[in-house]
Amino acid sequence: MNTLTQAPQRASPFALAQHWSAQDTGPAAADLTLTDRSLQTARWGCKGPAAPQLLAQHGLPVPPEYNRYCELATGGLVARLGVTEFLIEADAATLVSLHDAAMPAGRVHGLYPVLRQDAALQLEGPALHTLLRQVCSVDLQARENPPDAVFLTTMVGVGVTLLWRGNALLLWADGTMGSYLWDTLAEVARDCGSLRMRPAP
Amino acid sequence: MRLPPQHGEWIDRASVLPFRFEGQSFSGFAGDRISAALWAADERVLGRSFKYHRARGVLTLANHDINVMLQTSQAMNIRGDVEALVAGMDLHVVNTAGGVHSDRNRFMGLLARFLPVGFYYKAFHTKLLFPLWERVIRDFSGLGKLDVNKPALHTPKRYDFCDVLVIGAGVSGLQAALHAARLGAQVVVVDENARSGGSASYQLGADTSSLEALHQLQAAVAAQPLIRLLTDTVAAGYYADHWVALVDTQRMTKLRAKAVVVASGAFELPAVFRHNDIPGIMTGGAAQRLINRYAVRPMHTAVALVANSEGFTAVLDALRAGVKVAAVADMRSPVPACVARDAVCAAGVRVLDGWVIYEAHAGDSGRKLTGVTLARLMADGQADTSTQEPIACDGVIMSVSYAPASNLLYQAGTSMGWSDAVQQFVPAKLPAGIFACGRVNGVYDNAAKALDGQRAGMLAAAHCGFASLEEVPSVPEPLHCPSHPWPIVAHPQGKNFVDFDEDLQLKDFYNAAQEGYDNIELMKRYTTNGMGPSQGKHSNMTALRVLARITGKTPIEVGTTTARPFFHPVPISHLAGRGFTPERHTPMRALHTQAGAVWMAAGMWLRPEYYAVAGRSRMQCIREEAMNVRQGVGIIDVGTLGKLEVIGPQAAEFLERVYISRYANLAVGMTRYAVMCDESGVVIDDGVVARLGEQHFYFTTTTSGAATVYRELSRLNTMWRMDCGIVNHTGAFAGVNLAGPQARQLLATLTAADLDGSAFPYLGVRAIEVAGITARAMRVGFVGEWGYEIHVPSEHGAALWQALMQAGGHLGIRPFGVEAQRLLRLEKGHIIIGQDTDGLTVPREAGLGWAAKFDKPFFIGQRSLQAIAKQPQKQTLVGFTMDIPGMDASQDSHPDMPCESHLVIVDGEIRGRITSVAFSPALSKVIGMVYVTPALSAVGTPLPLRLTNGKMVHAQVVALPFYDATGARQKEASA
Repeated sequence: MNTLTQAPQRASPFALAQHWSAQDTGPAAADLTLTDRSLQTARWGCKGPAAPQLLAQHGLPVPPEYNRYCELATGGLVARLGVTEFLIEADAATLVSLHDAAMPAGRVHGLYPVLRQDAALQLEGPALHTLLRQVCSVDLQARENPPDAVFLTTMVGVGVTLLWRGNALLLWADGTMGSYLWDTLAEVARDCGSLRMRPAP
Repeated sequence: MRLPPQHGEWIDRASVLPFRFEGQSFSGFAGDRISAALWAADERVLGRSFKYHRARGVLTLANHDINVMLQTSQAMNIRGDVEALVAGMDLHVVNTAGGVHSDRNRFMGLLARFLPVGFYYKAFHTKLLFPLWERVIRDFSGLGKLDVNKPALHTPKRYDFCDVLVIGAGVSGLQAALHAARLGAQVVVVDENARSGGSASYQLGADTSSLEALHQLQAAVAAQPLIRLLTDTVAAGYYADHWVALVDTQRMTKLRAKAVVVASGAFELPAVFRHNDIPGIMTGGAAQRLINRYAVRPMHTAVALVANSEGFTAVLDALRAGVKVAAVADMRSPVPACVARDAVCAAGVRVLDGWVIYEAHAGDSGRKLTGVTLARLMADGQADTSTQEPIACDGVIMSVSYAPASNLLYQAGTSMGWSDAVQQFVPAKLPAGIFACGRVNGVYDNAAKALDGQRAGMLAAAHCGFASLEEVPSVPEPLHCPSHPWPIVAHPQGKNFVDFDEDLQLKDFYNAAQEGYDNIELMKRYTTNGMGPSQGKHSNMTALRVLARITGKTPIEVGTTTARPFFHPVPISHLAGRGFTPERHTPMRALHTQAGAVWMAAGMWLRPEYYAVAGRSRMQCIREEAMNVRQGVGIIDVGTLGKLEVIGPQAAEFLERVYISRYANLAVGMTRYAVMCDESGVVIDDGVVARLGEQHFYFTTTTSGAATVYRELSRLNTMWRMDCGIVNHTGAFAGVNLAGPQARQLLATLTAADLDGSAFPYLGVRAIEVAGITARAMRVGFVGEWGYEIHVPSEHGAALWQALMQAGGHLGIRPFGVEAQRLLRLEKGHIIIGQDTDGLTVPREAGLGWAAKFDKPFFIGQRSLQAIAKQPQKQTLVGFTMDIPGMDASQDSHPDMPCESHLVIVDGEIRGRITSVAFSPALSKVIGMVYVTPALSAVGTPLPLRLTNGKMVHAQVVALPFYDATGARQKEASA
């Protein structure tokens, strides 16, 4: 988190992709919809043994196990990526509060802030499962997967963090992989049916 | 000849499909395989053998008739017994000269005596003859002709998942699937055939009512929502953790299962007798498939050679199809009771117990069968030639032996044992999660197969956590033996084929053993048995029996060869499906493209090599970019550098351990060059460490080293348990290097920060705002000019670049690429890890000895470097220059200019190697760095360099750096 979320010059990592458009393209009832969430939601990360305590102090739920996430009443989420590593999407005020508590780095013993500049994506549509079977070797729909599961795996060769929210799959990846990820998913998605691509609102 | 409609046939007679074969027009039905449609049209020669070009027809019709390979304009090596007939196909047989009917290469059979076993090895024994044989063999060999002008076929790959994968949809496989699903398991069943049913769908005997039981089972499977049945799909390979490669007509699917049931059945093997390959001689299964699946009468008059009850069901099917069966030779004597045999006898067919086919006879130049000669079988397995009885026929039905289709079981690590009761290998110890049932498990009776499938399905489901209250059924002992222990008849004139892929005869195995190749693996390679397209499906077991008899061993003592994936042919188009090659781009990618960037790969990153300018050569662009940095201001995207942070009370101590220099005494707000070595003291990475706070360090790594360094540091921190944490911010920060004598002037227009040399000194680091963007700025000088490395969150990278470019317009700012940076740093004498070092370079050799602080308690590589320091130095990196008369900046290159990796040659010995070299536009001469032996390292030493063409040129050792030796240009403001 930084003070720049309000700055006017922000650019989505997906904006570099050949198939990305600033306009909403494709039919509304497409077989697959890719939505760029990169700039849509404020995002912050932290790791270290003090991280769970910091989240709890700020009234955020802490998933009891790693590779799980909790929904926030405000629509955000807290994803536990490791034993002591977290990704938080929440309202800007909450994240500013977290950030201010954590910075400068080293002030809170055992807390290491993580700058999140993710390429963030939402995938949904009736052809989603067809797409996933071509791009990811992990069974994201296995019955034994808990509904609040967080998957740290690879998709089209890119390290990704995934979780289900209803019938939509949320995805985070290194922003520098964003254009490749968008273009590759769009290419495969077109083999699976009609495609709608939505830039960040 | 096509039969009237058969109960359960697989063809759709309402859909007639015209096609062409070898230039002639034919028609078949939807559902036909190509071979079946041709056989129905009374075509008997469907292919030619690979070696002797012998005429071949239907042999097994079991998806491994490798002598029937066909070609269309788009695809080659289409297997006739596998591929469905498609309207409009224009088919030709591969590997012929002049067509399948009049193949001119059939004369090869006459040369058989000159093509002994091990021919390839013997032919290549003399090096001098290698080119001759290579040319001859290349002309004759090869299957199909590739048309590279045809459009590529795209075959996307796919992943799939299930609880239980059942391989084989025969009775046992379907039962396994059904019982696993009933317990709650998600099941996938795959079968290479177009429909499920396995042998139960064609091995009917006279009574087709058995089909009803199969149809009920199929209906139960279809009604089970937890079962997915994939037909026309081959499980072609097994990999660790129950990964199975499924190959269908469109793609390869990589399926992960929690348990695998192998119900893959058994391969029916041809009997070995003289001329056992003449078209018309086929296995019982082939005849029954033709009759019951494709409604084709396989022959008019048949002689059957049997050694099991399955053979008699084949005879009954043939009789029902109107085939006249002249005689049945049963290799067994005495013959066990068998209902099917009784039915055959009751039909008035002559049955000869303890007889064999001694030889077959061909007419029409080997193109069709005219009859066979029977003989009594003696106790030693030889034919009693005094009892010969010729019988006219146009077809032979063979059903004498099976081999389990256990390839996937072997790949999964199954330990196989030998069963005398069924004369085949059976699973003795299965790996966890692997189960077998049906014929591959040595169970042949239909009722027993159903029970065996139920057992395997329940156990597989239980392995996945679906427990059952039902008792797992036991399977009765086999009622009969389906395989004769020696279905082989010797003949003095040979041509009794064991392997149809490579035309291997019985004598070839005896000769190989006589030459010392009497081990199963050696014999396989020497004879090439099982190395053809069928991978020995019809021949490996027979070859094993032959070797067992030659060596006096049992089959289990002989053992089997290694079954590697893929055990079934897989089209290359499937293997070459969509691949994923990730690329990384910095946020400034689009701006670089607009500026004319020519891209180069740097690991996964794409970086601008240089920016093309109309009318300028590549080298001119690079030199102009470099000169712009020297004389004005340039900007380069350095966002690809690794960017890590270490935070915590022991952060400084951690860096002291992983880098060779000292950082505990680094002041907050300052940076320091950092060199990383491995345990052996070899330089592996470098970068800059910036201290942002007492417990907060931000440091860079090389572009290619970021991931490796982060992984290694994380490993070390886990091991050392230090009170600090490491964060990888490589992708989260964009970075630019603004460099040149006007860099400060430019930056001052975009920031309120004090850029005075005393407030922001050389090697300082500051948190500043640039164009309204919070940034980390470092005063570093890799290119040897006043410069700032500015890092901002990636989402602002493009905005930062644009702001700097706009603000610098009146100063003539230009972006510069990787090549210009390489040139600039060379002028400054700075090394690049990986270019000016290699996998053996230690710091002192690369001129970095000053960086190693041996008085520290510990750093990675310290002990090795201490030991190395006591050894004489073998090489050292020095600078050199060359004055090449007539060369100036207007020339891209010069014939006398050396290249990287060119060698220093003294007295005929290699004494050095160039790592970097370029023409410096700033210095108007060729400069470079070179590793030389210490004796050649003194300034002024002449260096003889050998060019690629062998010409020797001369350079001279000079002191580094070449440019601005005092560093005045980076300290100018504070001076």
